[in-house]
Amino acid sequence: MVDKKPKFLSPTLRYKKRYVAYKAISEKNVDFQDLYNAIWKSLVEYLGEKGVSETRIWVIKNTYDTEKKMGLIRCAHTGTDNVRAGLSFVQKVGDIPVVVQVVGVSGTIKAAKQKFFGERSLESYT
Amino acid sequence: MDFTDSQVFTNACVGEDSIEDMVSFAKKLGYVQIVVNCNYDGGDFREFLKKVEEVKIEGIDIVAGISIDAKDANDMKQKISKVRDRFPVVIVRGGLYNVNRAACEDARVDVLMNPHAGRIDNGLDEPCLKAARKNGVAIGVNFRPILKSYRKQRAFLLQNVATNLELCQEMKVRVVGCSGAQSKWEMRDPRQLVAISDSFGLDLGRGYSSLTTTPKEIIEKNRKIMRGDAVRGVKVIGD
Repeated sequence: MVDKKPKFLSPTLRYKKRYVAYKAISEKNVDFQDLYNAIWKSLVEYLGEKGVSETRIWVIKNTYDTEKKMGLIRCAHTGTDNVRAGLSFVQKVGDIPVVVQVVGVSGTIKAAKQKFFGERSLESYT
Repeated sequence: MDFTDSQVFTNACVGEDSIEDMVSFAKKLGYVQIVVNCNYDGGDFREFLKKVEEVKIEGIDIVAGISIDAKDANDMKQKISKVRDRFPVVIVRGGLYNVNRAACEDARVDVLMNPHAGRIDNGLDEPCLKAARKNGVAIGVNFRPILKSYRKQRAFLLQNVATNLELCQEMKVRVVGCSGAQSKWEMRDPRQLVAISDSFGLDLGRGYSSLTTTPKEIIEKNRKIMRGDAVRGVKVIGD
């Protein structure tokens, strides 16, 4: 028997999301998987398992830009400051010293990409 | 916003990176003023002050500061009297209760840094905080020990920092936040430092002022005194 997915919740019942754009500052290029692990480690160390679950943190893999070393983290709208604080505890990715700087916060992935990644919409070309 | 990092160390003292490297990295992170510190070692500090004065990078103000470690109150007072007229920022490293108390009671001290350092308790009580408010001494929170510690040690450290921030807010004592970085990789975005202080109960506004207006006021006041435009302990209350 095929398992069915639950229906989408209505927007009022969903939790409010924010997308925190971060930038990894380092002298050498960092591997995303290592950065991903370092970010999760520092967030869990600082906020604790309960804190991370309450903040509803999710490091989005396919938004990472390897050239700009920028990516997005999804969290609850009440938890942006916790994410900022947690990211400041990232010290090293592998053996490379890294500073993870928060570039800004946005309500949607699209807006975050336009604001912080310099992505242009089709309308802007007209 | 004009952010200030009140304590960083370079290779002119105990740090790893040069003053130029640290300052340009601070500029990249969004600081407009940076206090390059050296530790008190009994020297005349001419060389250090010369090195700091030589560096000029557009868009960021570089200030020389000194950090004092003291064995007791008398030792602290002697050291302060030797350096007060030369540095715009004088920071006393806390830890011992007698030193914490003496620093709070001495108006020549600008910042009492980490009063909880090496202690089980938070290192400050009501008389200390009242004296700090009266004498305009700010309580400093250094990010480096938090960054360098982990697990149980970090938990206790954060607990003491939270207690001190709460007490400072209650007693209306000024707070100064800083990275205390000894290499450029230990520096952090000022907004992230504000977020940390915010998560420990300090109002967002006070968190911002701990990195903007408070250090700026301290530096401006001391620069005026060093130029001879003002006198320590005298306040103009009318024309």
